[in-house]
Amino acid sequence: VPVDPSHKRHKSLLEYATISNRPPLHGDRKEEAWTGAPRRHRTASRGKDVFAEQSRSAKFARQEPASPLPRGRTDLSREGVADHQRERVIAAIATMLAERGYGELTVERIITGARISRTTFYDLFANKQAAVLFAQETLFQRFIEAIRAACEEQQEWPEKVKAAIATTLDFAEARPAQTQLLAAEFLAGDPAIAARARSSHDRLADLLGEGRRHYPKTAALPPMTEQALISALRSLITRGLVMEEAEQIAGMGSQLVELTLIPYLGSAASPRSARRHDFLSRRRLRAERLHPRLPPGPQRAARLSR
Amino acid sequence: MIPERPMISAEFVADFRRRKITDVLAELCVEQGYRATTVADVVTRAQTSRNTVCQYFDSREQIFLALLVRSIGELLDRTKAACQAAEPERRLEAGLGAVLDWVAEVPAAAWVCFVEASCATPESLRRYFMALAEFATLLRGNFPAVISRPVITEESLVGGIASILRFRIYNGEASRAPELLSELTDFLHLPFLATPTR
Repeated sequence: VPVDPSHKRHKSLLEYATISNRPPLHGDRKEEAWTGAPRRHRTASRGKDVFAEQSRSAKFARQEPASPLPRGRTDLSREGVADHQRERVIAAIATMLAERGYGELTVERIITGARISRTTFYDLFANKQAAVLFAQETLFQRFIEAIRAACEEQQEWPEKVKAAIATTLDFAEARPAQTQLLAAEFLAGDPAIAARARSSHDRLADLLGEGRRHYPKTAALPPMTEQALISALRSLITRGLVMEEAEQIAGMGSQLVELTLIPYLGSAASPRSARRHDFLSRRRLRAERLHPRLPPGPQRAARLSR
Repeated sequence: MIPERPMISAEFVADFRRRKITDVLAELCVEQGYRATTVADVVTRAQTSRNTVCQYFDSREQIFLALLVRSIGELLDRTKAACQAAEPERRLEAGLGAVLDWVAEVPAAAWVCFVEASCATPESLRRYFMALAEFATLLRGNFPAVISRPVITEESLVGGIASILRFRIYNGEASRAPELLSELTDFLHLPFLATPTR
């Protein structure tokens, strides 16, 4: 496995875990608040995702679009109007799930929240399941795009992890209901929706698992480490949202980074005290007791060459 | 001769009926899910009357929450007992073992606590996270204190393990939960990985 040469000398875990010097991610959020409708529309952009433009300029618009388009003629194309309606459906589903849970989610409640008619809803989606799947798919796509963009700005792998976590927290802060929808597992609900949630979970775990390429010794880690780490992050963030501890989420950043990096970089605890509890090194310590490792020098070279 | 009324206290009867009703809901949740289960189903299965159910619980959600609180309480008590019985350095393993054994022994309650609780109602989700916090506190008390670690370590470990168990239970592998003991014990020790792995 090729090892990235940029990792010759790695910083300490705590150096990576301080988030204070991260690039500004949502500095332009205030000026670019969501106004309800896409600002400009050109006929040339028919079929394009107008919301993609929006989300690029304001990293994550804080407000979720709930209000319908103004009455009367609109300069949006048919497709633009449909996009806006779909967007409202996503927001309504997210809000409804956060408020009442999947058990209480009905088409009736979705259309009331999104302020569209039942006919329009069925023009856009085949049924409730399709709408929820679309919401999951769209939101996850946006989320993973944001993470990818944040990671691309960084060189070192731990910095990428840090950027990804900062982005996630920004997303959670700006769009709590949508984040809860993304993090939900839906296991007791629809199997198709649960499978969708599972596959996005796996994609995140695979993304984190790329770290193993940079740290060859991580081969000794249990295979489900990444799964467990992603679950842990997900559980912590959902907890913060459900228990309404928003400020706590924002303050968790550096701890989340530290926690995520420990399996790859090792604990920041003093090595001597930590080693006693290091389950992976136990075997190695025993081996060293039996065959003490010689300090570097001619004697050791002689033994190794034998 | 009129048979004597059995000498059973009113509290005992109430407890028994509550238990019966909640147990029935657990069974039904496993069979058809919380969403599809109605109070009428519970009444039929428990062979009681709607009046009796309404006497003890206001709604389906109340039955579910009572069931959840009871099951979580049982699990927490067992885990605490197992931790206290074990030697200090094997406490994590003993506590984890108790949780896994419980999952295998009472799959219906495990299904409710792990799978249904996290998406039945917002209140049940809150209870679920409160339970996670209790387990995190338990874990914090049993970790070796010498190690410095992020404050959220315990909560994330508990959350990660709960999530792994949830998928196992969802896939119908509740009875094989104890097999996960060694791998999950390794996971609990993850924050103590001391050596930089390069």
